[in-house]
Amino acid sequence: MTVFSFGYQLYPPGETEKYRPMIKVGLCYRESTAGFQALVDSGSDITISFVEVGNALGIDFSDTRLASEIEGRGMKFLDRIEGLTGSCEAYTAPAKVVFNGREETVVIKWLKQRLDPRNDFPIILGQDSIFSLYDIHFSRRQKKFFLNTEILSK
Amino acid sequence: MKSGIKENSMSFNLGPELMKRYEGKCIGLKNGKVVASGKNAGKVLRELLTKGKGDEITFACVPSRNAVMVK
Repeated sequence: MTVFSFGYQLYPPGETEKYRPMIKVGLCYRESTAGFQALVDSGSDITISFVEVGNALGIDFSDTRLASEIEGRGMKFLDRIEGLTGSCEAYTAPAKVVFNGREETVVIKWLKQRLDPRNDFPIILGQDSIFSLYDIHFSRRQKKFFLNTEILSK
Repeated sequence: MKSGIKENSMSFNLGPELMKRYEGKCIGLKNGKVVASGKNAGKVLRELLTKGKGDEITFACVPSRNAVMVK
């Protein structure tokens, strides 16, 4: 059994300090690859990023072949995402997400709104990605969270 | 469950200095050093991808002091 331990990170700086479970993941599309700050969010059903991130990686959301490929898989290429703070249109497209050398193809919702660095994260990892790969234990008291490669059970 | 617990190389920590200096901005790090920064995420990321070819690069956002994040 391998358990990876991560410390919570302080966000944002200053008086209003909050602790967030953040990790770094690789995000790859064709020839482009980079590490990204990512929020591990058990409250999100889906994995989310932004159109401008996808564009920089080389995803062309105006490509009708991409749209056809997604629609052919029974998904909506242009969708509406509902959240606690409102809703937003988003494109659906897969990308490779790499965590600790483990590469997985994840269907990501790319938000059609500007990434505001004052209060957005480049990637939010939801139930459909990291939570499907690891058993995750959050300990706010220890300010740590743990990713277990094995399935935890009684 | 203490045996088998590992610190992971994918741990992420910007640190207080970077957080203070780049508050409210996107930053691009190459081998741990900032090589691009700004409020335009696409522009910063493209600059990082250009400057960081072949190196370890990381893109991150530094939130503002009064940010309230409900996701």
